[in-house]
Amino acid sequence: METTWQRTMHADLAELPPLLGEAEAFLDAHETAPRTCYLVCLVLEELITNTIKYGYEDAGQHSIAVDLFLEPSQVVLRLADDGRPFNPLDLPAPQTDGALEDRRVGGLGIHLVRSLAANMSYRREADRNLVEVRFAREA
Amino acid sequence: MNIVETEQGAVRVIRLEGRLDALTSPAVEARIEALLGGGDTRLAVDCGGLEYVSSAGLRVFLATAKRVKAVQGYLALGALRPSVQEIFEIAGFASVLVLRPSVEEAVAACAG
Repeated sequence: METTWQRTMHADLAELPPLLGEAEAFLDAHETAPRTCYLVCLVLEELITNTIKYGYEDAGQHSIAVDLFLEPSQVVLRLADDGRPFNPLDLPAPQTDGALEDRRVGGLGIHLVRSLAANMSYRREADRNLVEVRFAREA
Repeated sequence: MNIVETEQGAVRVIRLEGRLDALTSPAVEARIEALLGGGDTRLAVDCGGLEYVSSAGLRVFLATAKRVKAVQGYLALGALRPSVQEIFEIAGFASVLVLRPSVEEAVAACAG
């Protein structure tokens, strides 16, 4: 069975739900643990939403390439966008303790991604942001 | 995302069914805002049917907790699935939100 899933989407939030549905179906078809499916979808949503909301400095057309690879023990997710340079590993962690009034509404998405990934890497190459996130296949 | 509401005494029970993500969060937030604006300040959220929460959903709960506190109301969440509970814990929400194992306990926590 094919162990690679590749799509290119427009940088448009409306395209996100069907893409997530397809990614989930692909992972399901390969008997990926439900928790891993959840995490991959969550990370896809967080990273793609972040890019669409904050990644572009012009109103032109942009696209985002989304690849999933199944390795024997890991699910590998790769995202490539042509937005402005953004290294998610550089973002300071939000405050996750303390009183309610000290918590900021926001900044949690990238924190979730970094917390849930087994491994995450970033590189800027040919004016594109390339992010790779790895998850254990068995949760 | 379905939002099913019932009333138990003075507590409004909001059952969320489906995915609370970037797409569905605005409608849920708007509904909760309308409830608070209408004077319902004891809100118990039944999360038993909540399959998925992303940071967009977390934002709704945090914003709601802040609004509820401002009006000296009550907010409690019950019956979170393990995968959703994990997200709440990573976000550090377990210490600022009232999370209960069951809907009944969440309702009781709101009854004051």
